[in-house]
Amino acid sequence: MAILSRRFRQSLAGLLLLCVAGLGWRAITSPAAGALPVVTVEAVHAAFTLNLTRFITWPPNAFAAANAPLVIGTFPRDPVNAELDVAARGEVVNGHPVRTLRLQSLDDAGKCHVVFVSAPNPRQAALLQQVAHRPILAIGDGDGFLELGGHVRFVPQPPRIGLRISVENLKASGLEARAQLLRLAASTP
Amino acid sequence: MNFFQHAPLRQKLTALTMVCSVVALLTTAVALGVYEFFFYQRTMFQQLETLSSITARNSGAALAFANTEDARRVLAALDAEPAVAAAALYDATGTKIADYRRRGAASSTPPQAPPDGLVRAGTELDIAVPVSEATKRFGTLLVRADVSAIGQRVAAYIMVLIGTTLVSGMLALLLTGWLSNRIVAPVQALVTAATGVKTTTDYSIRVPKAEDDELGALTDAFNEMLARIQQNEADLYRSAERFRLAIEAAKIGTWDWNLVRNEIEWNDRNCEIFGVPLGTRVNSELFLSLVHDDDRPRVKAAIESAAHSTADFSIEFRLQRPERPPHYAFARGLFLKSSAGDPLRAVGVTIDITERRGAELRIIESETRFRAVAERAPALIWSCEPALKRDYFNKTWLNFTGRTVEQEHGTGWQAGVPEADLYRWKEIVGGAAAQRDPYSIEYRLRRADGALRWMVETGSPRTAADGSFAGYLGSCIDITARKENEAELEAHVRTRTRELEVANQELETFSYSVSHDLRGPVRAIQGFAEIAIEECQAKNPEAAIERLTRVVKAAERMNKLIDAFISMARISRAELKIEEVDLSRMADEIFGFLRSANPDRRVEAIVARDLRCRGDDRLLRIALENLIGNAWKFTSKQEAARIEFAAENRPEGRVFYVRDNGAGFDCALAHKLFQAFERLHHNSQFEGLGVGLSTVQRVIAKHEGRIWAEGAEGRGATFYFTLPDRPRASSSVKAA
Repeated sequence: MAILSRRFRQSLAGLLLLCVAGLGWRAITSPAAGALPVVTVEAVHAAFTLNLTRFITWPPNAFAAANAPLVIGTFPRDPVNAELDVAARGEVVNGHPVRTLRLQSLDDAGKCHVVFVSAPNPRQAALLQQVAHRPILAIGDGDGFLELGGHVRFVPQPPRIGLRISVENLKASGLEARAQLLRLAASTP
Repeated sequence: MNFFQHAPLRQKLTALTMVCSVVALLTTAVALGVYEFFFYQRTMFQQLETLSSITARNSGAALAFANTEDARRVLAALDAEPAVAAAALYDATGTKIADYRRRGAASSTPPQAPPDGLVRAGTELDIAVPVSEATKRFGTLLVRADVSAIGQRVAAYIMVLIGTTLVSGMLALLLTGWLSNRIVAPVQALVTAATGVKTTTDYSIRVPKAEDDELGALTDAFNEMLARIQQNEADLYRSAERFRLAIEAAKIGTWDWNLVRNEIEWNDRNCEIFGVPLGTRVNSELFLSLVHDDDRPRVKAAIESAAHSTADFSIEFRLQRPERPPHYAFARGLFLKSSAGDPLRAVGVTIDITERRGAELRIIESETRFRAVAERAPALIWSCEPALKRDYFNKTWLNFTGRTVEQEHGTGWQAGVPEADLYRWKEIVGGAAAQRDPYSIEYRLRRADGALRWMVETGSPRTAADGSFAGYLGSCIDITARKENEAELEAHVRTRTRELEVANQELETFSYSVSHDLRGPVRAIQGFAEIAIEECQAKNPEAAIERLTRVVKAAERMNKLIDAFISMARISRAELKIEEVDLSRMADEIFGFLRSANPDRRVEAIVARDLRCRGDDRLLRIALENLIGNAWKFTSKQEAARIEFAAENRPEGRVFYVRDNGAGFDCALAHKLFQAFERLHHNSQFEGLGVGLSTVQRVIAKHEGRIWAEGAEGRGATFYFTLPDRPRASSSVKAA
């Protein structure tokens, strides 16, 4: 019963995420369709962040156990938090249940596998420094995010949001990105 | 099937090979085709599926991050696979976000995502696969493939197959043609030879042997079979030829009667025998019409009887031919019957026996003639088998013995032959029969009146037709009269011989007398006469007279001798006058004369009474005078002389004797007693001329009697003589 209910929940979460993603994508690709509900940038960021976990490979020691939770950390007042919590609810990536974590301090970043920083945020650089050379995927949308040591940057490319990836930073952190993700990122100007 | 029944072997072989090749080829091709079809289809599907999966996997990021360009790029990669006609990517909501369409392809993709899986519609195959990453589904990929390539490939395959089949068929045809020659050619040769044998019946045809396989063995067997048939044919021909020649040489007519069709097949000789043209169609009616009217019912009955029996039949009959005397034929045959016993066919032979018949008739005639002659012949005629058992006696024989044929048959006739004669007969005739020699023998056979008659039997060996000994044919003649004449003649010869002997003896005696007895007196006369002459010359007359007296005495003696010769000769020549003679009386008279002549002798004379015989009185008197005179003379020196004349009966007959007790004689000289001029006693003892006993012997011999003497010197002598009871008259004997 527990299994069924969990699957149900997972499916439901997936469905919701897809809806969000689809809505987001539609909001971007079909701006003329005013009848459709508008998808916020935060929702897209939340969905993309979760999706990114599926195209990144952590080193084996990044997780304490095979079913250890995959923790996404955000600063407490990040605009994406609400959407991210919704999106992450019930998600499981490669056996790891997804958890969201509010970073009370920079040290909390050490408990995370992913950190997301919406721009502008003054602690962005400190956080990136904190996570540098650690297997913590750093995602953000601010300018110079990659140069500061971030791994993935969401780039608004109306009518859609593109991705930029720093392969060097990934390498330095011991993370690996899928080829198709890199291909996708490469196509982003 | 009909094709196969009548098609030549080459075609059959070709057809067989072709059918086999094509079937094998097609089977292989279809199997390969089916395999190819399914394998190709599966491979194609798998390839498309794999391609779809890879594409779906590559599409994950594009969908996850809603990157349409990337999605198009990913779909565009499908262009490399020609089977893909169109493709589309749908997001998680099923909305198409990108699609691909091959240039020139008519297909298009649906606006909404189809359910996952394979769907085939006509030549289109839709493959819908989920696009997901790390268990998260981002959407659906649809690949629409054009699988008409499979059909094209199958069509191409079929075309290749047809082409291959045609080419390989051609090759197979060529190869079969070339290879089948090695099988068909010998078979063809066999067939040609067999057809040749069938049409020409030439069994000398031989098939050349090409290979050393089963066909070679078949060829050998065929050739061997032909050789055997040829040999058999030759044997059969020779046999048939021999049979035909034998039939021709034997002048045998053959016939074969088919009762079902009532046709009779005759050979030429049979036509000749029956006097019909060669090749005449004969049936039973025609055959019967050719049989003599008188014999026809008999022939018909014989044939009908034979037709319902298992035995063969033979019959003699005359032919209805105009020639005289009639033709005779002899037919012999056998009926062949069906399993139900109905006569179907009859075969047999006919022989013209006219000649034989004529010969038989001649033999019968000859036999009849022989019997007529034999029955009336004066001789006793008989015939016997090789075992000498007699099987024929003529009437003369039966009349002679007074017995029947049954009694005489075999060895019955021998009952009339005395045992000794029969023994001799068996010995001689048995020996002659062993050599098949003719013979002649005399034996006695009892006549009807009981008298044994001398028969002379001559037997001539008979020869049977096959040259073997068939017994004897013989005749007997009564030769009793001749036999008697012979006995008489023999007696005459004996007498004559004896007379000749006597005459011979006389001649000897005469010559002896002349040389000795007559010479004595002559010498005395000569000597005394010469002395008397000398005395006369000496003038001594007394002495001369005395000498001349001696001459006279010698002359007297000589005279007596000459008288004795004459007397003896007379006796020899004398003819007997047979009459009843009383020898007792004759002896009495002789004794009386002797007593009167010598009155001083005292002699006891004993004469038996009634000694009679038949003979010549005068000659018997001379004999008796000599015998009694001798006894008187030789008892002259006995004091009590005794002379006996008597007879005694001995087995050989009555024997007369004159016995005395006189001087007797030396037994050793007894053989000289009866020789003329032989004297056992000197003249000085007893006077005599030495002719007396010789004369007696002559008289007795003349009477066919015998004379002999017994005695010893000084003890008397006995002279015996016999006189046959009835001496025959000598007149019947002609002096030689």
